[in-house]
Amino acid sequence: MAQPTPAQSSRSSTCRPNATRRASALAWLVLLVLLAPPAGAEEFLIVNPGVTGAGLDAQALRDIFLGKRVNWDDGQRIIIFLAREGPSRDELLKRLGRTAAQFVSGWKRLVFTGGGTLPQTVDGDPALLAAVARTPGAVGFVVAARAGDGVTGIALP
Amino acid sequence: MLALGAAAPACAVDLGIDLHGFASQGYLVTTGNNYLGPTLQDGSFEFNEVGLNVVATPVDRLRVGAQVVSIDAGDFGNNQVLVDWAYGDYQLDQRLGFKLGRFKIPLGLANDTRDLDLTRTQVFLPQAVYPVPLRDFYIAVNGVGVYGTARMGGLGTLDYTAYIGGQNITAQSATARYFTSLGAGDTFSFIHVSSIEGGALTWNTPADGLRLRASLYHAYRLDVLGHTLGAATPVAGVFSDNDIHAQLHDFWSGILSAEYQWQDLTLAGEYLRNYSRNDVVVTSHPFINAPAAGGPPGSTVRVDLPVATTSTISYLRNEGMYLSAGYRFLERFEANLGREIYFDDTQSRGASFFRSWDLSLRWDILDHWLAKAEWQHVDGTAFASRQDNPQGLKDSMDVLSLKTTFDF
Repeated sequence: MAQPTPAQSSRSSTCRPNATRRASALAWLVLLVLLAPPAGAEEFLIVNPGVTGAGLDAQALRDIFLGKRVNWDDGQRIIIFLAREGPSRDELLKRLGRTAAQFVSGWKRLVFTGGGTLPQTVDGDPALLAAVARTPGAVGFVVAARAGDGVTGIALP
Repeated sequence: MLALGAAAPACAVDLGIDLHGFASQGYLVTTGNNYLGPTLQDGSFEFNEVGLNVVATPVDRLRVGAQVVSIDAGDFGNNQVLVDWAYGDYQLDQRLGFKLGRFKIPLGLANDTRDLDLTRTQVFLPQAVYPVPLRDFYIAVNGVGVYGTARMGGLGTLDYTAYIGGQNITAQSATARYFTSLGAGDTFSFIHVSSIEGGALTWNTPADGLRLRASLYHAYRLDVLGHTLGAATPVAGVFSDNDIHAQLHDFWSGILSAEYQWQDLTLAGEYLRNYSRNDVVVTSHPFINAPAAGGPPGSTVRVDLPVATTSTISYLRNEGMYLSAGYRFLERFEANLGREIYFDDTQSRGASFFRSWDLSLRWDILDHWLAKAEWQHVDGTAFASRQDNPQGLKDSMDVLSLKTTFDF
């Protein structure tokens, strides 16, 4: 299974010197190796390349997707993207220990008491990867991803 | 298939602004007693909620927003437009966040969602713990709050929240009408709470789906100035205009809660205790209606008698509890069975109480549109109010409620 690969940051520029670009690519490569999933792992927390993925674990996934954690460590707002249907959605709910109805009800409770901003839904994994790749502060969950999807992947045990 | 989240337009993300709303309309019909208005024969459609909110994240870590609601439940609410919440929320990190403004009070599992029909299976929250007439008393605090989550390794996580501030309860509010049932007058000129504070601890246990919560609410000195005009007195022919000053010292509410979610099954149970000491001072202005000398036949003139003042001390010691089991038996259908018990006075449990069974059915017609039906059988006289039933309260009643809710 190919792992998600980091894309060029939205802050990258075509006028950046080649040396800087090479250093940036090398840094991403190192990050890629560090974040490489163990053999057999197929589930990924995916974040926009502008987000530092350090410290994200299974508990962080629960906190983020259940609306308890709303900012990244640098203060940037977390923007959640979800697949409307399919294996990624089903696996996410399994990890959260929620049914679809419980998940939706929990989020509506947050939205109407001022405690959170509703996640954005998209149709299918390709759209999810694209949305996370282009949205600063974005996060998503996928059961599999393709190389070149333009996101940083954090493999989950 | 139930869809997750919302397909919001891209601009909602770019600007960090979200707009959401909900609208409910219900129908209520009862046997035995009226409940929340005249519901005995043809039922009542005076049973709705509408809400609209906007939230923005102008800078990192800060979220600001406000929601207005309009509620009608028989004589309660009457569709006045109220500010439900309006506050700024600054989350330093997950361990520590602050709220400033008007925000919902965390009390029990559901106090903050009293008006949110879409978050539950039942039409009515268990009235033994969340009575409709006291909504305004519990719903929100104007002040400052702190909250966060602590990780405890293998012991799960602990959510904490605490708040302090004041409260707006107007003399026209739903809660004011509740004081009528306590004998604090038929009309009110002043209701004021000096301050409120409280908090909640929620333990998300290592047992997946099990959470336990303890929450406490304290209102320091609630003053009510009520008036009753022309009340009958024990002396035949003598009436009285009464000014009533009821002062509730240190009103406490405590709730212990447990909830367990396992796949499509949700079990919940809560136990409530309320306590306060009440000083009631009644200043009576007695009078008689004497025949008017020289006036038309049958005309009278008011003759005032000496003013009298009486002072009494009473205690409020409510106790309420419920158990409920909800099960989503089809993707869009959920049923809930509940058992409630409530006592007006823990030192005299047989005097005024109610016990009830309720059965609820929820149908999620579309992702943002639902319908519900609920039947509740109640034994005891502490469920319905005397104001709704001047003919006297019957020991047994049934409540059938239907409701539909739309949200976006």
